[in-house]
Amino acid sequence: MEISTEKNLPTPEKFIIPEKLLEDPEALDQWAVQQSSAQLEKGAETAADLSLTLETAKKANNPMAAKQAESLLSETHKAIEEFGQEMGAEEVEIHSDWLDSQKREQRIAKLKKALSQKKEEELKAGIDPGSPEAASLAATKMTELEYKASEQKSKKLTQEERRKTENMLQMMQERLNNARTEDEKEHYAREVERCRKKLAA
Amino acid sequence: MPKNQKQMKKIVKLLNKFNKKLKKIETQSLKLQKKLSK
Repeated sequence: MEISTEKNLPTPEKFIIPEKLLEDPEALDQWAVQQSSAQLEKGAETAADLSLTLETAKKANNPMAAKQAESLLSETHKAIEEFGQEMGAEEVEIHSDWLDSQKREQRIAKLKKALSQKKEEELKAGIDPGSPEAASLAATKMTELEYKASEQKSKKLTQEERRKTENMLQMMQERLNNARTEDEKEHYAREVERCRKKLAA
Repeated sequence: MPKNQKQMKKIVKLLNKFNKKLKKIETQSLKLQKKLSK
């Protein structure tokens, strides 16, 4: 369930409209979508973290801490939902998974699993959870996960790219058939091969 | 769909509101985690 590739965007202290984009409405729109996605992803990470804290509190038989974690978790869910709806109302393109509570839960569960693995690794490495070392390890781990996901995504050609490459292949094949000189034949054969390889990737 | 400046200002306001809320929750969450790890 790939939602955002923008989650590693640094969060500024305060958001301001980027001046360099002011003259380009489409770029501004894209900026709003990216920032919203990144913020929603951060919200989901917070929810996943709180969900783990809730489990820890329950295991530690600490009802007061569990209650506090539950309350913070519900506050996070509410904030994500409200933000998604408000952005949607402003016609910012929000991924439907953020607006569907069930799908959102699935996304958070996935993040929780990754976070849980990371915390286990911290314990094994003797790093105190919550310390700067742990935060650094967490950032590395999440970046690795995101990198792997984006790698897989980028390997697949988008529909638009595929259509363009298919058209190009057809054109190059026609040119190859009509080629007169050896040089032309060689050149178009290379182009045909290149398009085929791209489509097969 | 491209937005006008008024819409963008509202969007930025919403981003800041959500960011502030998240930061507040994160701070409380960290405090809770510290308490539990003691």
